[in-house]
Amino acid sequence: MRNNLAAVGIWVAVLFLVLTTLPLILSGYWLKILTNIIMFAVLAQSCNIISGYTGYPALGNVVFFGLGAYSTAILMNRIGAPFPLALLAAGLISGLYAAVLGLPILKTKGHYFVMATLGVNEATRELVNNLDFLTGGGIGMSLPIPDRSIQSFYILIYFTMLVILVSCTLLVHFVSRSPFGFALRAIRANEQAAGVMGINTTLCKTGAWVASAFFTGLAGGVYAYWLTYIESQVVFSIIIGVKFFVILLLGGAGTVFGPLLGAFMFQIIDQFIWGAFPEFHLGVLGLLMIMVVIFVPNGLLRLFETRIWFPAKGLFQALGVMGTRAGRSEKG
Amino acid sequence: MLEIEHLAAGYGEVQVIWDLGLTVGSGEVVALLGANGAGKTTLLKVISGVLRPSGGSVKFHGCELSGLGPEQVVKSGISHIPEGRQLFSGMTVEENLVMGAYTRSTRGLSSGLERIYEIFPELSNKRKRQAGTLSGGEQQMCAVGRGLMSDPKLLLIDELSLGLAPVVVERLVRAVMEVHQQRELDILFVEQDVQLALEVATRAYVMESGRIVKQGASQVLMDDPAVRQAYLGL
Amino acid sequence: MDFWVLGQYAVNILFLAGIYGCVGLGFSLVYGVMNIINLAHGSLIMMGAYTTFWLFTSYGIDPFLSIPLSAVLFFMIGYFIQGAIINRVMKTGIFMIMILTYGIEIILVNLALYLWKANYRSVAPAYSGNILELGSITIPYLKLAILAATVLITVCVYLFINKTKTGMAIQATSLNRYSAQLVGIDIHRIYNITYGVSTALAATAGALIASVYPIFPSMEGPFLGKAFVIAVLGGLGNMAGALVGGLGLAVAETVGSLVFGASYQNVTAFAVFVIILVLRPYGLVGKRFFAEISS
Ligand SMILES: Nc1ncnc2c1ncn2[C@@H]1O[C@H](COP(=O)(O)OP(=O)(O)OP(=O)(O)O)[C@@H](O)[C@H]1O
Ligand SMILES: [Mg+2]
Repeated sequence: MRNNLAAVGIWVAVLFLVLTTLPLILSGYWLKILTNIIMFAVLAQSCNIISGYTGYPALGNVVFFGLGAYSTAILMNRIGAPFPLALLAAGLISGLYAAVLGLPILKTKGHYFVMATLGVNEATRELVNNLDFLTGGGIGMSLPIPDRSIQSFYILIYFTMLVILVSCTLLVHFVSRSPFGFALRAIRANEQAAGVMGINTTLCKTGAWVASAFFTGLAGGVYAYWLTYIESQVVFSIIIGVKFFVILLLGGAGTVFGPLLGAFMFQIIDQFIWGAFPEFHLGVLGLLMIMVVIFVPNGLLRLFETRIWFPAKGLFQALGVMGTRAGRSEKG
Repeated sequence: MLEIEHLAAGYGEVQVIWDLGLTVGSGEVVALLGANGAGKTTLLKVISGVLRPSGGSVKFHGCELSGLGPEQVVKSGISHIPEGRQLFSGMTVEENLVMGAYTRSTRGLSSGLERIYEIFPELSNKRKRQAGTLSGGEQQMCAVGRGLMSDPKLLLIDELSLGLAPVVVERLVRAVMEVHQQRELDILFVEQDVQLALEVATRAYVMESGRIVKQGASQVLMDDPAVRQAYLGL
Repeated sequence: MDFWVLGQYAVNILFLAGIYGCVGLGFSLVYGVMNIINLAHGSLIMMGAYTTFWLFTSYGIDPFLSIPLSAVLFFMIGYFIQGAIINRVMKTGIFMIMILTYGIEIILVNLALYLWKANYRSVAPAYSGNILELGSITIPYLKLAILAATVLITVCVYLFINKTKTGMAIQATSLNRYSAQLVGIDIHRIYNITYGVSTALAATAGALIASVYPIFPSMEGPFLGKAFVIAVLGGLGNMAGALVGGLGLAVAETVGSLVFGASYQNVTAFAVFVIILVLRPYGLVGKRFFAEISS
């Protein structure tokens, strides 16, 4: 057990070192890709809280991304709020939206829940399109251009995204071993039984969704500032929502590191597809989704565990047993 | 003529049936007894092709059934009346019966229906009623009727008596036994009422945790002290 | 509001309801029988519209005459999609199947973008300008034809589902899969047929849409959204309900744009949708007939 902990510690330290030094040496192009990976990791990780652990397939979670993006844009553009303040407010607004919507919508289940979240996304996007005076309507909205060098701006964006990812992952890590995490898993396994056990399911579900929305909103806010221009068609697009779902599935829903692994793999593949088949990018992406569902339904992390890690562990153990026997027989 | 040998089956990773053998000869009525969770329903599902076995063979009149889909099993002359009736509750009684004859040509349909209505006159004047609105006994009649509509050579019945009053059960049993005598229909049935089962059946098997632990003529089992104690409470 | 204005609205609503009914019918059928939210439905409608466009511009085939052709073609495509892809994952959870159908959706969008580019296209049969005047109500003959076509299609679907052996087997499968197997129905074949019919209905809806509206690859999104709303208004999986839902959406959009302004028609539609989902998940007609409400 302690061995395991040390190993994880070393891995995390190495990862941290790599992630903090890389942006300083990478070119603009690769920095963008890396930032994108981290953004999708945040999105998938947030989705993990409500979908992976609690079992509510929030396909329309992209609504909080859009909301976060627009909140940041409006606060910075119309009021002149500084970015950190605007970003925090965007997260809170998204969380609040989830809290208000959660009470009615989390009463629905399964297919109905999925459709409700998609419906909320559509309705919100249409609303944003219509509030021209605030959002610029269909034309989109630009944010103030930062007054610093491009390179340092992109590095700032990168680190902001990274901080969000780390906090989100730490939250998931601690929640997954807390009583709250236990309650969420109980809801996923059998909501009625969880209720009978004395878990306040409404409160837990809503809490999970609010946390999920908060981080998704933050990611949306950073995204808006990063691109300095947003459009409702883009930030509320279902394809982003589906993407982070695929990432979650690919990595492994309901695991702490699955979303990170999934985001990395998916974005790398996505980037490759863009390079190799620019005209068929969407189509190849679709094919990829179909293949993930058919061939890796339990996620890469679990595939890795069952196909490589467990057999390897078994082999090591077997070798170990043989070793101790050999040792004993030598002694004897 | 049903012959099962070395059958193994289960759900996913969980094996429920272990090395099981069983036969139903022509003209026989065979009972399958066992506690809850012994795997009786699972066995019937394997025979009717809903569940793929993981090993062993199921032969019907010499033809291998394991690996065939349920539609082919029905065509080969086996009909399965499921536990808990499982009617198409949004359809009328008559539509349910018609669905029972799905694998047969429509030519003999009306005479088939009339035959069922003769056996169960109660169904006749409720033929346009939604099946879900019938009483439990009527629903079971409808389920039996639906099972007979395919004109099977072997009938699998799962807990005919489930939740029904003794009078109704007796009526259902009599009806089924009449069909057994009139048309060469073999029967394999699962029953919790062991007394009733041993009265009706010529032979019986006792199942425990997915294995056959006892078999023999009904009379012999009736006198078996272990069976008497475990299942008849005597 | 005077009588003629009301009449004009009624006519427009009826026409919209016809198209929407057609959009919702196939979507609801698949949900009812297989418990699948088919996210590919929007792009199947879009491909149907383009097929009509293609047949019209390349061979001069009238959009209404193209319906039987494209329906047959799309039936086969749908049968294949279900048989070769979706049946493999029928036993996995709803997450999986949705991602899968969305994958199909974007493949089709990509195909359309490649074949026809992102431009707006339209099909304009020679008679599209002709108008019937009733008092001060004006009705393009084209819209009348569409209404007639939707009635005809509805009747055909009704007869197929209720009066044919395969149709009854589809109903039986949607009511109880286990029993359907026990009476000898090959449920996988039924799934294939169901998806095929749904795809053919999507193509038909696409043809009708193409004959009045401009078409473009990203029209799949809005129409998928509409299919959702229609299906939920009518009760998910309930086919008769899909028609009610079509009418409901047409009314909601029209009233929404009257009360709040034209640009609010979609907001109203989706707001109604979410409210219905939460308050009356069985839909407006509220009868549990096809699928069960469960996850
Ligand atoms: N669909 C299923 N998935 C997984 N396990 C199942 C399933 N159906 C049954 N089982 C398991 O298989 C075992 C045998 O079940 P089965 O229904 O065959 O028992 P049975 O003898 O018919 O019991 P009963 O008398 O209660 O009907 C049980 O342990 C049960 O939990
Ligand atoms: Mg049983």
